[in-house]
Amino acid sequence: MPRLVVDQLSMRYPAGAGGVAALEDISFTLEPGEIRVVLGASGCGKTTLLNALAGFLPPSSGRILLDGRPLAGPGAERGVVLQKQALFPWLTAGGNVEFPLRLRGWPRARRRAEAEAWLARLGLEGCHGQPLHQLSGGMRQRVELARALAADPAILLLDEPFGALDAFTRESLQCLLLTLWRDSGKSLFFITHSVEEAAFLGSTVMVLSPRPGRVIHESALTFNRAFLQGGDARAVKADPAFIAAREQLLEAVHASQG
Amino acid sequence: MPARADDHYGLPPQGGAWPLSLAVLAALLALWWAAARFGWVSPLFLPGPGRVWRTFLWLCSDQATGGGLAGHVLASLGRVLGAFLLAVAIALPLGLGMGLNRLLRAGLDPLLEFYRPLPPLAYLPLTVLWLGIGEAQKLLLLTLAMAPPLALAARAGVRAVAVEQLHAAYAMGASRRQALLWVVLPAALPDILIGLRIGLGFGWTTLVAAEMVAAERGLGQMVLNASNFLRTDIMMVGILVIGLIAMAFDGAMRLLARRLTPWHGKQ
Repeated sequence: MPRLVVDQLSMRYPAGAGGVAALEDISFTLEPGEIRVVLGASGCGKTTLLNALAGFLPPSSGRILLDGRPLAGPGAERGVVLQKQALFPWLTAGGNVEFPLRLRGWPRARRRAEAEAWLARLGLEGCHGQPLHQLSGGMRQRVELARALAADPAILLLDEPFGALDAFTRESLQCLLLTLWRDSGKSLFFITHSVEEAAFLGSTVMVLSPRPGRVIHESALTFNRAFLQGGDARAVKADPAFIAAREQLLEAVHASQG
Repeated sequence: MPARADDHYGLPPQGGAWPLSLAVLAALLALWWAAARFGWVSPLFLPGPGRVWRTFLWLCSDQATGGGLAGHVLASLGRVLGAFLLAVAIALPLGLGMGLNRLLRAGLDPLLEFYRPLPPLAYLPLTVLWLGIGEAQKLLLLTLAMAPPLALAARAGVRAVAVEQLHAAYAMGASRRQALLWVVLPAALPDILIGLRIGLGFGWTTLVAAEMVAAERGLGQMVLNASNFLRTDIMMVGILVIGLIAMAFDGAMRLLARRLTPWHGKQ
């Protein structure tokens, strides 16, 4: 399992001396198999951080190391699920999930079987041939997850993937994501501005300050494990320990904004 | 209040009302018929619908010269479709290249921006000077007329791809080539199809100009030739057939776009 090390990363946007500092002196390690959640208000550079980790933006200073080597652009070991839908509307739901397998030259029948298995795992049995515009927002987000997972990245980078969903759909997808995480052992890097989502999903929650984004708080949490053992999201989220952790994160976010 | 169930308050109403469309057509036809029947206009300027219909039938029969109407239609269709294929083969790759490559865009943009709004009639004499009065000149004129909408559509289509879609593809391990073929091109397809429709339509409107010089057959030539002999009835058949074929082209291209890009406009 690869280890992603971020070492004194700063990002300016647009790149160069004239740009505005978006991120300053960020250091952390995405440990194999952990869920690291980045929590922060809008405009704190969360998405810039994800773009840097994915390899879409080069560091302005500092380093990002994957197994000890600096990143050279995007790679299939780092999948992304982005805030804005990035599905391909010219393909069916199943065609989208098959896409990463097609890139690898899998034969058609094997591709199809694998895509159907992923769709089923995400609760989308029988949706292989459906055009995307016939699916609800929650279903499309599931397709997006299925596609990213079918590519089998060791690290999955998610940028507010559930931000546009209603509260019920959102919670069911959080639970699904945790189950998939347990079954796959992948490392997740998850961006959100929802304090509750951060506390529920994170093994580590990292709070960023507004521009320029700095790490101002870090907590190690175990509510994701508690959910996977008990299987009841409401019970976990109603637990006084969860509420205390949530309020602590919220306080850190407020403190960061002065 | 919305007038119909599928209207939205404040939004200009969608769709039409086909009974009204039919009624207007019928009224125009009746007016045309009355103008001829009661002698309001001389038949030399406006032959009646019955006369035009009989001329149409005569043109369709074997007695008409030059292969009749079918010969003219085939000649024109051959020219326009041949030039269309040429324009597609040349302008689509150039447009895609302009969308994808900064240098190509910088190099070709001024040229395209200058020549796109030129009326084909303006450079018609030049094409005659270069290629004479044969078929090649007609193909060139039509190709030149059709190329700009195609190139512009392809260029714009390349821009239609969302950066998120490309990022997702690269993060799944796509190579540059795969991203181009499987993401950029499909994303460009709706715009390209619109360009094909507009290009084909514009080529057809240039047809009469293309057939003005020394054509033996063709719908445009048929109309021009008829005017020399004051055969207003033949001119009207020609105009109606040109218009109907243009509508058929447009309908076929719309159908093609709906079949090939069913997702377009539904996101």
